[in-house]
Amino acid sequence: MTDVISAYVLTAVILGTYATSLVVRSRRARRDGEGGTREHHA
Amino acid sequence: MKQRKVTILGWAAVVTLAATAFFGIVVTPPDVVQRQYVRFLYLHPPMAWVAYLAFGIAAAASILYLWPKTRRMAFDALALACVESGVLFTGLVVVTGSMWAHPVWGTYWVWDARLTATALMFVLFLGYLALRRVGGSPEQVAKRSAIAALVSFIDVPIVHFSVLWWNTLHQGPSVLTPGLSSQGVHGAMAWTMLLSFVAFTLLFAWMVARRMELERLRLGGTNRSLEEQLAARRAEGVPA
Repeated sequence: MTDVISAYVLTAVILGTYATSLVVRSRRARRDGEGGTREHHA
Repeated sequence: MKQRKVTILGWAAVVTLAATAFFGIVVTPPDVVQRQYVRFLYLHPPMAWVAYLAFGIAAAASILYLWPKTRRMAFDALALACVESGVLFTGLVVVTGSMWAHPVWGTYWVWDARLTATALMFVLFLGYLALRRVGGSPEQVAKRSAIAALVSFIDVPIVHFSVLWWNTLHQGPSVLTPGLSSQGVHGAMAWTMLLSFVAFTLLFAWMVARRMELERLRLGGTNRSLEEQLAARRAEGVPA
């Protein structure tokens, strides 16, 4: 059962991390506006 | 997609994923043969389905981008969003598959057709993401990436049909065949499995919507189309 729980937790952590990064990056880009765009290309 | 709809989609994904975990770990019974390891059924196949879906949409968007009459930068953004999520899900499919294989097959990995083709699919689409970072104008990147997506997509049907075309340690298809119950998945297990497919598809849709929005914001626009934003940036002399 430990293997199963580990797989569920691992999946949740990885997908959760990616989802959080999308939310954070979107908020930052929205807040920074053009500044965020230039920062990305700096 | 409107922000409110994306938020609702995200919460729907969270609720259905939580329900999948609850039913998958707590409610459904262990299997006669695989015992507790059957609970990988609610994790591994739905993520493989999402990977197929992601790369399929990316290939369709790439065709629409390459076709002159339907060429829009939005299709390139859609392909990028799908491939990014697809690579993530493929990686998890490989990892959870190995974790499932170890107690059931007695090994984490074998170079059979299904596993090898899946590993190749992961590397091919990872290459797509790497190719996008090579540089060039947005049109050059989009065109090059669209071709790469279509070439990479050739491996997707090979992955799916590999278990039928060759003798593999991996079992045959249990879902994308006529009649789910005829393949030996019944009752609470079948319903939980279907729920898991809905849950991961909702999560994928949310990820794509969010990633496309991020791409739009990355180009510096709010309500303008990607083409208008690129034209504005070129006029400013800012590299897009």
